[in-house]
Amino acid sequence: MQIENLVGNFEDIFNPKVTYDGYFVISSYDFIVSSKYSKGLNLVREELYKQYLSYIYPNHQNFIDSVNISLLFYSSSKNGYGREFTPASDLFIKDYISSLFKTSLKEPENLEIIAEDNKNFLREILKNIKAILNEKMNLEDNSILYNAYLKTKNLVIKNLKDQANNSKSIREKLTNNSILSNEKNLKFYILSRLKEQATSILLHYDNIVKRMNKPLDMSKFNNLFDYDTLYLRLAKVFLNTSRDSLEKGHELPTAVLFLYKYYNALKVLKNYHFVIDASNILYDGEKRKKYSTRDFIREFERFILPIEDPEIRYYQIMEKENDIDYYDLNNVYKKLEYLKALEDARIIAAEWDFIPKGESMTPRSQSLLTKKRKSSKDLDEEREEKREIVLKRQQFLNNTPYIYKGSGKNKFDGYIAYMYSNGFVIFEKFYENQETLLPSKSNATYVMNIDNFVEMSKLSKPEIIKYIKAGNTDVMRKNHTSSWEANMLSIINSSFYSKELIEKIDRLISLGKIENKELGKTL
Amino acid sequence: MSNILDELINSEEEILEELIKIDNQVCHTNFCLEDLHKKEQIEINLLGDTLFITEGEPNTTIAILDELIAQPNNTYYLFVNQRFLALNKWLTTRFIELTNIRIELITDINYNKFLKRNDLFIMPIGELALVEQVKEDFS
Repeated sequence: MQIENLVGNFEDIFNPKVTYDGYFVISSYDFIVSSKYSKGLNLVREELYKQYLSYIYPNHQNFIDSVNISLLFYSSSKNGYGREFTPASDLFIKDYISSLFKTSLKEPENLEIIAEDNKNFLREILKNIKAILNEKMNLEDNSILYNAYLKTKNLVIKNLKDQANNSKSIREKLTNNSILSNEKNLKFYILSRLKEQATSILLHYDNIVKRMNKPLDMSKFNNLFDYDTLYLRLAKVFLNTSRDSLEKGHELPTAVLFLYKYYNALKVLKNYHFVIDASNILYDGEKRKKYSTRDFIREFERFILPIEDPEIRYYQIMEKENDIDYYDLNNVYKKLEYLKALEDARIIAAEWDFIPKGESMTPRSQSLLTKKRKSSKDLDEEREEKREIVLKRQQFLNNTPYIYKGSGKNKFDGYIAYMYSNGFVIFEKFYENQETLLPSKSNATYVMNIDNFVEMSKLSKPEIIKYIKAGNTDVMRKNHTSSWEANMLSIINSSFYSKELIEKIDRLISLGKIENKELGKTL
Repeated sequence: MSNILDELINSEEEILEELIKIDNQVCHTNFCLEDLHKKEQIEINLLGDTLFITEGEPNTTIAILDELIAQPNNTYYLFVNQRFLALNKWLTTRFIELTNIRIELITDINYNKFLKRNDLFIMPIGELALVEQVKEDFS
């Protein structure tokens, strides 16, 4: 079996079918060094350039080819349909500027001011370039620009010579201007190019950020990687970030889930062994040169495996349930539905005793639902009258085709509920409580669908009233007016004014439309 | 208004029979055309834009509409608890066509969305249980 079959491709790693919250932080450098090559081109770098860098500078082949792009943030999706990769655009531009001027821009105090830092650096540098080009200042007086010139000089000369070899017009242009033979002209040329790019970034900064906030198109990367390298590189990076988090007392990062997946795959493929060049790995304090799968297993078992983290334990449990493929989203949905139904049933069971129609009731339910009063000595005439009304109303509902009938417990003591096959639940506080069986002062019946019923069962009566008064429209109340029985029948029989019926009514009414207002004058 | 209404009822007898049939099916009632001629008396004091909350009885609606003519410049909302929607629609539509008074029939299942409206006078009309419930809700 191949390791790719166990760990999956780029999308399987970063946008798995079973998704989760949390952030990954990954350097694009790790992607670039894990790339396949074709005709001398680093395919991942080309694709990253196509999706992002090309927005900054369209001609990367000559002047800025040495630019290393920087961090990418990997975050959970906002739309709930999966995860997305989005570059940290201001950090990206910061590193781009650093790379362009061959210098290290200072670390921002916080991410909110990084854009301003970048812009200020560019404004300052442009002012200096302008002064040098106007010969009001020496290049050597500005250490950043002088350093950039020295470090770029040889690359630029090489690029210009290459271009000159390939193009007669460029060759003539270069010869005429003597860029290659005249130091002053070369300085002028390089500073002019730097000025162009700095100006371009400054002018289009906000637009670049906007465009770079587009998530990475992950599907384009699936076939571009050397996966043996990518897996081990990611494993090392994520192990470093996990250890870093633990040392700082933070929670384990989401990336630890990848470590488990990779570790489990290595355990299955016992003879698999791989080594990478480990220089320049993010967050690695050890600065080692080589890193192998054996190093990873050793580190993982030492630092991560012993941790009793609930999230990891959950992941381990999921992995162990071999009969269910948790990477299949449909299975997960089924499981979630089952768990929701279980949870709903638990909530209802805590507050209600339900029995199907036709089944014998528990003694407790029996007393609340059917028992006649024990004694009338405490009942005044008004209460007696009220009791008769309540019994009549209850009798009416008892004769309806409900499928379950329930008596309330705890905070729903005194309530009786009827469930119907159309999904509606009708319930009402008929009695003050089951002990006294005194009729309740309630003057309305609540009607809702089963989902709302579960939600309402979590609430106390004041909370239900608050819910209604908040303007929610999914709970109906039917008052005990003379039309109460007819209202109940409409609900039980699902006879409502449908959209189609209302359209029919509107059509009928429009047939007799009064065109003139003559009648109105006689009002 | 009543005389005009009687004329209209007679001239649109066929349409009304159809509408009544729809209402009776949905509301489980036995309303008939003759019932529309029964007069109901109510007294209301109109102070401004008003939401009337009723159980949708068509004769109550007719009585309310009769009262509105005295205050034609306000805006009125009529909640009918999803009862007799066909007849209530016919009554309010014809009333608007005749008078141009602004009245909106609320066809929602409840009046909860109005509970936070403090720009309207709330006027429950009908049986005691309804009036008490509405007062409690809007208190």
